[in-house]
Amino acid sequence: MPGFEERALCRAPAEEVWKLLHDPARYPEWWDGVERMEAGADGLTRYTEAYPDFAYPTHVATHRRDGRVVISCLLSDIVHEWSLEPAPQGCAVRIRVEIPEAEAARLESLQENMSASLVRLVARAEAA
Amino acid sequence: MLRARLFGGLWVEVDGTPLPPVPGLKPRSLLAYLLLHPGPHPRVQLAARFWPDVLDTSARASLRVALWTLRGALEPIGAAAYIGGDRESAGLAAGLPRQVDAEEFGMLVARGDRQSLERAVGLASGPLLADITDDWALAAQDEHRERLAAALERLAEECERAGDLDAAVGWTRRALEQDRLREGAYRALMRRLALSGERGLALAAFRRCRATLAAELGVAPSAETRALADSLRAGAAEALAPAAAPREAGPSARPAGEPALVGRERELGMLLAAWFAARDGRGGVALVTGEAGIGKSRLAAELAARAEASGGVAVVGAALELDGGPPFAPWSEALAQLVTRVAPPPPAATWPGDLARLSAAVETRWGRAPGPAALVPELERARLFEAMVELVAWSAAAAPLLLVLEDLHRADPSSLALLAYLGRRLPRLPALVLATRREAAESAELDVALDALSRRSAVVASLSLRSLADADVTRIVAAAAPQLAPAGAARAVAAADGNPLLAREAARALAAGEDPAQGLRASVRGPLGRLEPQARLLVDLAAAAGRPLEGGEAADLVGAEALPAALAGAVAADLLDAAADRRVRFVHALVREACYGELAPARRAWAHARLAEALAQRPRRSAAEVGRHLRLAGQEAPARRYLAAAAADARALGALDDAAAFLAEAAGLADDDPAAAAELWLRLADVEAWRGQRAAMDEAFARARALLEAGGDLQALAGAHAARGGWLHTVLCYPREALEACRQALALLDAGRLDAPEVRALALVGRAWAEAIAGDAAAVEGLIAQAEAIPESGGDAALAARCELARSAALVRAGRFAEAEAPAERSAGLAEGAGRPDIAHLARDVAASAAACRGDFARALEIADGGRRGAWAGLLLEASGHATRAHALSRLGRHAEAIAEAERETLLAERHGHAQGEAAAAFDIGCVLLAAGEVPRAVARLQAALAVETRLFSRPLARLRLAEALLASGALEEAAAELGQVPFEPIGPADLPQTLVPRLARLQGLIAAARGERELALRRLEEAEAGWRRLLAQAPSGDAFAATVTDLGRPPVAGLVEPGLELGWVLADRAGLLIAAGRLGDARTAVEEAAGLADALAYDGYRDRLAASRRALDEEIQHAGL
Repeated sequence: MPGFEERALCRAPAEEVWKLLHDPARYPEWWDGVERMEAGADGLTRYTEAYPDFAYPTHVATHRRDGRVVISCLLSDIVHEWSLEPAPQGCAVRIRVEIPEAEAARLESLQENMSASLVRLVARAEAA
Repeated sequence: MLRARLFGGLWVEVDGTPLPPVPGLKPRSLLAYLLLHPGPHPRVQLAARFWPDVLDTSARASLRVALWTLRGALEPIGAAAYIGGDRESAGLAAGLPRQVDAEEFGMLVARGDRQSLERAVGLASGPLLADITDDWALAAQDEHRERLAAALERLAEECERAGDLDAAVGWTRRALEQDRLREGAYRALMRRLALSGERGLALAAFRRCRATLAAELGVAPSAETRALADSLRAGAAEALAPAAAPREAGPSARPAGEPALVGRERELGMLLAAWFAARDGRGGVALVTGEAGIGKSRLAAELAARAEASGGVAVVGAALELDGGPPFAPWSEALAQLVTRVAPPPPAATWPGDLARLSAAVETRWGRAPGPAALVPELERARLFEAMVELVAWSAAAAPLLLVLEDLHRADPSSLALLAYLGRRLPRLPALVLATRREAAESAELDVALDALSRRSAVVASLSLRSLADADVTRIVAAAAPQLAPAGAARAVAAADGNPLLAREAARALAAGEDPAQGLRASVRGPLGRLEPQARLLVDLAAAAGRPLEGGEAADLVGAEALPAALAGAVAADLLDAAADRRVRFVHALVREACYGELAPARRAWAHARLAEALAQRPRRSAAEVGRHLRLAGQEAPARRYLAAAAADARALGALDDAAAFLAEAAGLADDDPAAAAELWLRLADVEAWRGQRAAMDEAFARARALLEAGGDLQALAGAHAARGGWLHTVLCYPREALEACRQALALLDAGRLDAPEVRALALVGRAWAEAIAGDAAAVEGLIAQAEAIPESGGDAALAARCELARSAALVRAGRFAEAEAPAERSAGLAEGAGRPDIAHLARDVAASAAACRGDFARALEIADGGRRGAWAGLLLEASGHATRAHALSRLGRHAEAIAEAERETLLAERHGHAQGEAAAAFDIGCVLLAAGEVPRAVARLQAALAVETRLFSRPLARLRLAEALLASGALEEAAAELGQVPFEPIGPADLPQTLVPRLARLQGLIAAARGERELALRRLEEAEAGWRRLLAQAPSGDAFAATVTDLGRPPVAGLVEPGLELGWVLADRAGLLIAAGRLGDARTAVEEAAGLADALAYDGYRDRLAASRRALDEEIQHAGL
């Protein structure tokens, strides 16, 4: 399955990044292109700036074993896995994305999008 | 000094002044009791003993008056201080000098040498407390007569050993005066008289024995006594040798031909200290480790003899020398002895019925038939363990108890779990467990049990036996073979290498002209070769049996007529030891191993087959033992059937580890019968589920599934999936996978159009519950309707209980909390009727959670209280009940009660030695302590909780609570460090991550405030406030409930979050900061909103803080106005 991985060092304590990752309502603050997140009876829905009327049902799960936060798009089956590691004077943030074969053409644009998001996430945490 | 004489009648003096008459019979009787039983006694027990027919409060009042009267009587002679005590206990004050004849008697008897014993029996010249007629005194007099008789017999043995036969005869006669039914003493008297040349008197003693037993008990003398009389008539000299004298009680006599305990004085001293502490009510577990033959059993026997002589009761159980025997073997053996020594408990006590499943002796001796087994193995095990604790407490209340458990390195896991369970209770009982194990024999389960006991300070002594010094070994060699020349004795000493058993065997080998260097196998070869055929047969079968044979079993094996001669021959050859309990055993386990090693393979297989055949015919036969012998005989098909039966027996006793082992072995023998193999693998999967072993359950299930699929048996396959769904939604809590399993079962039934109504009903109900928790809650009613429409499910109360439980869970999940309560209550009622307290308990937890979800904590508490009256439901569910009550009480502001309830949860987990349960209890009590403002205790408990890895509570939440407690205690940096750990804790849905974020932000704010970083503090509190407001705006749902069931395996009231309450806390925190920042208007708004939330939620937790903020606001306004 196509995919990519990015990693960035953050000078803020891990808990600042952790709060942003575990609070979907704040995703628009750092996720490039996300306009808003809505929570409803059927779960979370993501709306993007590019297609503000198009709903992306989204599943956010956390994993006991390795502390990953997994954000899955239920429409496209694209999976984002975020994880944190301790690092001197802050933490390291890692994002791993898996894309189904059918969506492989979006690999490059998605990587750009997530790189930008990672930078924004780190900056947001450092400014908190 | 206080001097008291109890023998003859009560007489007391202090420094030479006699005690004036004590007014009243009860105070005088109480004084006698306290003198006979020095040390503190719980007042409640004393009151019940002396005033048993009145209410507790009246009895305690009478006790107070009696103690006051006693002190008044002692006051004139300056001895009032001898009566000590506090609110809870009373007794003879420790540390004041005293000399009490009965106490001195016990100490002298414990020393065991001739001089001490003579002084002891001299002291006891009159009857104990002849002038006290209370029931306790009459019982004490009986016990004393028994102790005195035992001491007299011991003294007689010492005299005989010293060659003073006249004295030995005299003391034996004195023993019989104390107890004329003591058959062993008659035999000793007969033998000693004959040795003194008085054969006529010896036979007269036999006639007196026969007449007394016939008149008093209506029985004839035992075969051993008759055989001795026959030998005396025939003039057989060997009958007179002390070596042939049977032991009176299992461990209390010395091994034949051995002198007094050699070279172990220090070790015996340590064990005696443990025994005396136990006798005073501070029991525990003592451990003796050492190589085979080093003298562990000999030391245990010596302690047992001393314990008996000092008024205690000693019983012995040994782990089987046969791998894979029945569970609880050492306990079963000890239990069979104990019920012969202890009076039966009152008929109202139910625990003897639980013990009767472990040993037939409970029924034969106490007339108590086995009670019905519980449907749930965990409950069965809990009942059995608790019954054993009751037995030990009951027995020890009559006389201190020494329980010797031998060779625990061989014990089954269930026996060791019972040791750990009982051991934890011993520090408060007058009972000592002495455990022996071989050095270098690995047993992880034993290590775990001992480690758990050590952590609770229940291991009171642990000693390792080392090689004996040459001088000691020389004494053993001289006793075993006095005829050896010095050079031969030196050879024996060298060959023994400090091992007493090898010393004895080497000495005997040399005396018989054999070479000791060839080892034990070689030294038994000679005696084996000289045995008569029937004696050899008995030895071979006993060696293959791997445990002492009952007299009846031995008679079945070699024939009743041939047994006496066979036994005498094997005893004379120093191979077997015929104990007074009429069981046939080897003189040592190593001798058995050597004799077993001498059996040729064909003879060995024949012996096992013969044992299997004979044991299978015995009443209450052990399927495990028969199955094991059949396997060793190479008869695999019948072995498989017996092993399967053994698994069922073990499961019925809650011995799941053993059941799993039997089933795995049986399944491995069923290659030629796939249907039988599939059935066995499925049964193993069931047992693994009950053991909580998810991976092992899946593996066993996969094997069964492969066999069923290969055989094309769709109905059995559907049944297997339905069963798996059942395990996954009851015993194990994996709702999503339960859902998948039940769906597969139903799909198979539908695809094959199979007529299997019971399987279909089971799968439908399992699926209904799983859908309620982890799937489509809207589908639940339809599934229940289908299940209820199946005629075969009618009348199945357990199934109906599950339907109602699923219905209730679905309603909670849908946020219809008020409606969920009624079906949960119906489920509980049905489950209780069906004998399923576990389902009833779970249903009440669901109902209480539903009440909590709608904010009605008083109702949640009421429901949880209702569950207290139910039957035992298993550790985790019972603990969950305590947790529910504790958190509900805490939420209602009843902090003291909440703490007490959480302490009960802790005690329960500790009693069961369940480390994860203890951690969960530590989390629960940490939370309620924090809510109560007991900060240092909260810190300690939360740290203890986090020290254990478990999924029973939310670790990130525990970190946050700990940070909060640390902050409240002023430990700012430690609190910040805890927050830094939160991102690296594992998080699952049950942790409700979206609620952890505002919690973390609030604590960050409070830490910033404490550091004086006001702006940062306000920013963090605003973050927290925004987070809680978002959650408050969401419609209430039961997803949090479902998540806790799925992830934590229990629906705790504690796991439910109230966003309004949390918002109120943040607003109260923020108000204080806003006042300090001069933003009085914002502060006023925050205070008023927080107060409104507290009113709406009927919550008082932060009202003090609001009142302080209001006062500060008023002062500021007043100040501004000025």
